Amino acid sequence: MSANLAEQQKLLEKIQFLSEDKLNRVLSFVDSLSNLKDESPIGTQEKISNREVPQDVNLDVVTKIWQPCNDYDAIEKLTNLLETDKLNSNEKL
Amino acid sequence: MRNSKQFPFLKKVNNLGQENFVPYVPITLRYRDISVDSMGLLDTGAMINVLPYNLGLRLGAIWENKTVSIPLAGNLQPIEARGLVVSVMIDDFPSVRLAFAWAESNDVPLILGQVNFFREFNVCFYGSQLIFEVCPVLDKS
Repeated sequence: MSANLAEQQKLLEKIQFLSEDKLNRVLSFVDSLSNLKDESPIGTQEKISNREVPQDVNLDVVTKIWQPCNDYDAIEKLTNLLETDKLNSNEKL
Repeated sequence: MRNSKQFPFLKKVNNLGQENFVPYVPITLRYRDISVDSMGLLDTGAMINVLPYNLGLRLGAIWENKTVSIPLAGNLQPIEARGLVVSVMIDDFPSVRLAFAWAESNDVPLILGQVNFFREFNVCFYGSQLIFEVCPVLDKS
């Protein structure tokens, strides 16, 4: 097994087999991020790593939990809203 | 960039007391007959524009009347948001229509993201000089 593969496997184990106590600490830290102001809600590991991370909390795990969904649905809905707005404006003209 | 306007990065202090310089642009939002001046955070990493709740209220928007639900990601994921289209003016550039995810929270800045701020404006950052330039995209075809 290569060193890189071993590292990946180790990370996967950390993500999939977190103890309840550790998971709670990770989730509590993730929850504390929601109090951030004046920063983008779209997170990156870089932004998270600027915070004071609790001891023994893996940043890779935090990042995975913090960004659980993609933005495609939101983009599609806002784009549709703009199209409708444009059509309504044209009708008024 | 031709016809661009220059703005300075603004100094902000985060929760840890650390100073950062961030690209906030002064903008005027208009919804129907109401205008509100504000500062928008230019965030190239944000996929969508986000409007804080109190700003939508100041513009006269009615939460209950907005029916398009917009899912938010990241640390805003638990917060409900609804679609709101607003006219936005920067300096003396022609006004443009921007679609916002109007968040049911005041704990968010006014965020200008890829959809659709960066489709309407070209922006050039000069981080070492703490300034940025903005100019409207005149030909979007």
